[in-house]
This record gives sequence, C-alpha cells and structure tokens, in this order.
Amino acid sequence: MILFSLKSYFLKSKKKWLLTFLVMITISIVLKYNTGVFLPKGKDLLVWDYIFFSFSEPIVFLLLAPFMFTYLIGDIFTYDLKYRYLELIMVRANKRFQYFVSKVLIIFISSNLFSLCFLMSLFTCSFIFKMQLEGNYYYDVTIISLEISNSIVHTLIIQYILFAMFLTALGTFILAISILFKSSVYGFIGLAIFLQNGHNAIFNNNNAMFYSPFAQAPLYYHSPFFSYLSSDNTSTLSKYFTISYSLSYLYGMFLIFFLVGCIRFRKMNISSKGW
Amino acid sequence: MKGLLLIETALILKKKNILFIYILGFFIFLQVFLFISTKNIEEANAIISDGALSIYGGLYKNFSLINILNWMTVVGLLLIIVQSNNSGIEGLNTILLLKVGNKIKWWFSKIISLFFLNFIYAILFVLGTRLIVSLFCESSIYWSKYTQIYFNNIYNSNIQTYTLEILLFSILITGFLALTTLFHNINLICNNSKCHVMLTLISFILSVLYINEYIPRELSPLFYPSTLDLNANVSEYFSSIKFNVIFTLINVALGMVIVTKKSFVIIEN
Repeated sequence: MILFSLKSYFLKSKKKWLLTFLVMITISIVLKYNTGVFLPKGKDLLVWDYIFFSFSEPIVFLLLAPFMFTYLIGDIFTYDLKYRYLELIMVRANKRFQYFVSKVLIIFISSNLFSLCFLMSLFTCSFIFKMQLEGNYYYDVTIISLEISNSIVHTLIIQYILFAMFLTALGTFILAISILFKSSVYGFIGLAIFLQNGHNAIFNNNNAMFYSPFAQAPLYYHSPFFSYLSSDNTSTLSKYFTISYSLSYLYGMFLIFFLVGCIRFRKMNISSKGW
Repeated sequence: MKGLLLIETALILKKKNILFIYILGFFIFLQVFLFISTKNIEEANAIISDGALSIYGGLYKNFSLINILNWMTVVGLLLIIVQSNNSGIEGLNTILLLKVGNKIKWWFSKIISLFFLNFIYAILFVLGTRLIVSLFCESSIYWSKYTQIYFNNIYNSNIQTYTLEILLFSILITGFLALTTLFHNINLICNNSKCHVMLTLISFILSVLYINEYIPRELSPLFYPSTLDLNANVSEYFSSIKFNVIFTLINVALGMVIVTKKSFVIIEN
C-alpha cells in the first residue's frame, strides 16, 4: 500500500517537480542579487553566507516554500477523491489508517526532497557565480555560529531539520484540511491566513513569532542568533524563541493535524460528495 | 492560401492581445520616464538614439536584475501574444487543417502570420519609443554626454548614430524572429501550453550562465534580440544578424519536418 502510494505519486508529479526545481534556481539567482543587504561593497560573497542568507530571506519561507510545496502535494487526497480512485483503493487496502499513513509518508519524503532540492539549487547557483568556500564572513548567522560552536555544517543541519519539519507540519495541515472539507481550496485559504500572520510577525510585531507557523523556519530569528543582533535585550523574543521551542511547536502542529486527519478519515463517508 | 492567412492573422487580433499592446505602451512610458529622470540627474544632454539604446538595446554584459526583468517583460509580452497563434491542435485549428488538407500549407500560413506579427510588434515597440522620446530629446548625428557616461564603448567607436539605429532595429527584429520560431518548434514538440513557463525560466537561467561565461551566446535565447552586450563594431553586429537569420531559417525548416512527421492524434488520459 505504502509503496503503491509513493510510486503513483512520484510518477504523477514528475513535471511538477521539474518546474519547482527551475523556479528554485531562478529564485536562487534572484537572491544572489539581493545579498547587498548585508555584504559591504566590493567584498566577495562566500558560499555559506549566501546559503544561510537564502534560508532566512522572507521571500523563501513566506512565499516560495509554502506555496510551491502546496502546489506539489496539495492534491494527493483530492485527486483520488475526484476521479473516484479512493473507492477502488479502499477495496485493496487493509485499513483506512494505512492509506492515511501512506499519504503522511509522502508528505514527509517530499518535504525532505524539497529541502534537499533547495539546498542543491543554492549550491548550483554558488557554483555558477564562482563563489568561494573560505574567506571573511559577513552574514550574522555564520559569524555567530562560528563563535558558538565552531562548526558551520552543524548549523546547516539544524537549519535543514527546521526547514524540513516546517514543510512536514504544513503539508499535514493541508492534508487534514483537504480531508476535513473534501476540497483543497480551503488549504490555500489557510495558507493565506498564515502568510498574513507570518508577514506581521516578521515585519511589524516580532513578539507574534511565537504563534506564527511560518516564522519557525528561518534560523536568523532564533534565540542564539537574534539575541546578539537585537539591541533591545528586554524583549522576551530574544530569550525564549529558541530552536527547541520551534521544533516542539512544529512537532505539536504535526501531531494535532495528524490526529485530526486520522480521526476524520476513519469516520468519513467516502462515496457521498457532501460533508 | 490567401484566406487562410487572413484567418490566421485575424485570430491574433483578439481583445486579450490588444490589452497586451496597451501594457506594452504603458511599459514604454515607464521606461522613458526612467530614462529622462536619469538624464536629469546626470545633467547630461541626450539624443533620441540614447533613448533607443537604453530602452530596446537589450541586456548589458554585466547585467543587473532590473535590466533583465525589463527585457523579460518585452520578450514575455511578445511570447504571450504569439502563443495565441500556436495553441495546439484544437478548436478552429482542427477545422482549418481539415479544410486545407495539407499540413505543410497550414503550418506555412502560421509561420507567415508569425513573421507578420513579429514585424508589427517590433515596429510598434520601436515607433512608440521614438515617438515618446522625441518629445524630450532631439535627433542628432553626434553622440551626446549621456552616451559617454552610459554607453562608453559605443561613444569611443566611430559608428554613426543613424547606422547604429538601423542595426539596432534589424538585430531586434531578426532576434525576435529567431526566438519565436524556436519557441514555436519547442511548443510543437511538447504539445503543452504550460511549457511556456518552463521555457521562460530556462531562458532566464541560460542567460545567467552566458553572463558567467559557461555557455556561448548562441545558446541563450534572451540575448538574440539584444545589442548592448556585443562589442561596438559593425562587423560584430552583422555577424549577430547573420546568425539570427540563419537560425530562423533552420527553425522554419525543422518545424516543417516535425509537422509532417508528427501524428496529431493524441490520446490523453
């Protein structure tokens, strides 16, 4: 069952993944021209600076990642429902739970693949622009991570886990909503609300970051990095908005929507079109 | 044949495409505004050729993001308009093909209307630009201070303004032809209207690769109609025009071959 789901999904969405990868490379190139925000004039851009900057740029974690990811996995449930495959699959599957878990597994693998693809597109772009690996660092995340743990790969792994976990939680949200309402449109409405919330948290009111799902992904705003930068040491954000907080937030979000989707799906009337 | 051509050309004059022409006009207006304001900031005198160079001269060799976005707007509008000429084998296209009964004749009429369309677009673009710029600047045979600041290599070469403008126009129009025939062929092979988005993204990436000297100029389609990235001498401009013309002819021939070989009966899932 699980193997069948994975196979049928990845065979169906080959072209979507190709388009996504092209969009990613385009965005990476655009981001390269935006590095003047932190880079002094006339200095060389380094690979690590560029990668951490790209992960923490609002256009990536507010627009590109959520919407492209939803474009990729938004219809994994509604496609089956729309073309009446669901009834045929249910005859073969042992349990409804198994079907649901196979869908969640697709989301998990896709989110990891998405993060890897984004990392790969960033490396490709750094290769195109002939960036160098060693030299003077200028971006805050790299400087502070070198000060704290003396290892950049370690920081990269943390960033990767945050990003992949963020996408998994978001994908589960989309899946649960599409099971709840039997339509994927409501997922996009939810995304739009999250987007507004995240935009507010990043640009206007930093204390709202505790509740915004979109603000959990970038490393830049988290405790060891942001506390060095913000002059206002009294804000609660600098103390309590840590990486472990974000991970537990995302994990909780994942669990809640997993349960919601699971319970709803087990009691659902598949053959009727109504709620 | 005459009637077929008439229908193919009339198909393009849809309401939607006329809207895109308005957008082009607005775009030109914006560009001229930017040109005039930079001229005023530098306190330099400028002539019409400067406006022409900065608006339809194309991409710089070491480009900025704004430059490539401007250029992609121009090319993208052309591609969207052209797309209605080649919307696959459906609807009216099927009826026309059945009536003509000859694939080559049908395709040839499409190509001729495409050429016609390209000419109209390029002439509108160029004339519109010249018309609006001429309100603020004068034409002259001597290069101005603006040229010295922004297009120094052209200022230093001994090309006259009128010669350069004719060359600019010919590179623009042949480049448009080469680009649109290439995209037509790819569209014919893929048979998918969504592939235009992918092609635009790929051509953006290819142009970045060309700027960083990984691939030759011939492989990046966005640079076909562009002049500013070339060295300022007449022979290089002529070689660019020659390449564009030969590439267009090859594309037309290839399209003929593909149309005759391809089966139009598609069974979709």
